[in-house]
Amino acid sequence: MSTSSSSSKKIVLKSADNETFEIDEIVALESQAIKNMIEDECADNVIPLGNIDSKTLSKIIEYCKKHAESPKKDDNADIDEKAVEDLKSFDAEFAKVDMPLIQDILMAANFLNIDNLIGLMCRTIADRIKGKTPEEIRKILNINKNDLLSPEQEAKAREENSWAFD
Amino acid sequence: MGKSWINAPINSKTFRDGAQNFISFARVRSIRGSIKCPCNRCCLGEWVDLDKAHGHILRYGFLRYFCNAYQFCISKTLANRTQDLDSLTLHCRGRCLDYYDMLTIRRWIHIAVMRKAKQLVLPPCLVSNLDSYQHSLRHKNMKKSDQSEAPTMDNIVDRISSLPDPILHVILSRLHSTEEVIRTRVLSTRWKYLWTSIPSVDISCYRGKSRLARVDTNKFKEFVYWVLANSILDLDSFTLNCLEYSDNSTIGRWIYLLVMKKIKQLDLKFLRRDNGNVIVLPRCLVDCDSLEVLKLDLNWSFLSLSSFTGSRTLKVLNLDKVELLDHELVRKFLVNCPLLEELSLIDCYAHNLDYLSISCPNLKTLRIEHLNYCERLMVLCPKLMYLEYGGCKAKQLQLDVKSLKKAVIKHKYIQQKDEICKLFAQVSHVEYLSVKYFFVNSILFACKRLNCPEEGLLGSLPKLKTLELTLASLSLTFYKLYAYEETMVRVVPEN
Repeated sequence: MSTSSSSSKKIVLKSADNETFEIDEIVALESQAIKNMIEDECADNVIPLGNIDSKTLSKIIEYCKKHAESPKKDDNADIDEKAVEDLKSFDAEFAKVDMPLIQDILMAANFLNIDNLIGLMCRTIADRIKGKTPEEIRKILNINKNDLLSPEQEAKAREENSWAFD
Repeated sequence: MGKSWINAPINSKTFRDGAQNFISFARVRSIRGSIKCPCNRCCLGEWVDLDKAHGHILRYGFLRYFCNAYQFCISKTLANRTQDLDSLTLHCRGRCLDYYDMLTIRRWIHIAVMRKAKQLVLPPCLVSNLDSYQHSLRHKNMKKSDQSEAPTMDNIVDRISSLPDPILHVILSRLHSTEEVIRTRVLSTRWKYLWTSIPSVDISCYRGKSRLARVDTNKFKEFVYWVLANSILDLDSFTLNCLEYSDNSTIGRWIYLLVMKKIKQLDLKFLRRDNGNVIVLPRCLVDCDSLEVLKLDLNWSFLSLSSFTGSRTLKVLNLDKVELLDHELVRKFLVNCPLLEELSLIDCYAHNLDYLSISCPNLKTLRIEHLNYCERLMVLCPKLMYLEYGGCKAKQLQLDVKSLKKAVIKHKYIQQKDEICKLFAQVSHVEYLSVKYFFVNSILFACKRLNCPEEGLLGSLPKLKTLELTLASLSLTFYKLYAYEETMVRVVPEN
């Protein structure tokens, strides 16, 4: 069993393009998946993250570092509002990246099981497609063109829900 | 560590060696030398120290299919492997869920994925529990059992569609309205049915449309019905603003569908143009046993509670711009909502009910604002903690609120000093009071005029800890409160 008190312990992650990142265990614990592995004693050597490239991984580590440093909400009820505000503005700034990177981060966050980051990325995506037409959304999200509805199916769906499409 | 020893006779060397091995294993992972005893008697029900557990195992035998040990073995084996895996196969006998926890299995799958396993074979009982999880495996190397090359262009491009449903649902839930969610149906085949498991519906007849545009009533009604009929999961919340574009019977039908979907929170905003009509809520809402929150904004239509006689589950009731009919029905209804914790009556009329009695055993929060034409108001709520009261002209006010901690009095001016003194006398045990500055001033003025002692109002609140004064403008001279040194005074601007 690992103990979280040994905060100096390092975890080494390796991205798909073979770049290694050494991070504090406390930062790595933000990821439920890595936390599980640490508890499982299988995080002692390099953890290969074969589906995450170094650009995405460094972004994610940046996020985890910031969130690991900030006081946790459930620690005590009256943590100072400044820290909360600070974290909020960090999140807002963090999300100002292009859509492909957002999707990469979301997929990686899903794989690494980082709840807050999944939520942040989902919010960001929703904000960007709010009030847009389906055509615009397809473009924004880069929806697979081989997966489109047939023209007949699409016409039928628009007909069925004409209230929503008018 | 093998597992065959568990089935060996207790007295055999195999069993004793196995038990010894297990204890050594457990020592590494134990919490302060204790484990949940895996003997046949304790069946993991008791925390005991390792030596005692060792004794138990030798005496009572080892719990068959004791999985923590196996889970541990598997985890160790997986973790210590440095080579990539081709496949991971788990076998189990029958009721394996009793023995494995899903988290551990997910962990194995994680490791297997990281070791680039191309094939994963799980017993059916586990697969059904990992359903949603499989989505997350979809984009990894699992599916392609015979080719291990890098993902093709297609799934690099459309990463979003390869995410599991729960994540896409989070995105959908962040959109403005159900109309917008429904529009995602045409994005692609992946999105076509995603919307059907949304947990809440929010439809407004005006949203996204010009207020001047003529609303196509039929299209609107069809849409609401279609959404309710085609969503497949139970609904947590339903919010509908339909103004006058619907009628009693249509709304009744929708409510019937909502009840079948075990609706928890219902928020309806509608109005009747022909003011004489009385709105009657369908009886099924009483019996549905799922409704917890009911919010109604009826634009001053009449509401009759003749069929809605109570609810076993209702916790929050908000009535906004509702004309209440028949005080006896209101009283009976409130008495028959045993779980009710929060009640708000905002801008309600009590035309032909000059008397209103609110008697709820579990009510914690009560807001009454602008309850017009109500001459006598009675509140019997022994557990009430929070009271917000303002703009009511009730001449007779009877409050029985022993547990009240926080009161917000929203009166602007006093009409009658007696009434106000009575009000304060009945809430004199509060710890937190929020009043308007003008109101305090007008009380002082009245006190002077009537020659009463000046401390009449605030001096009679012995338990007060916080006093909040709301000011329209902060430049006003501050009311002298030095008499209340132990009270924290906050001054906040009126919004």
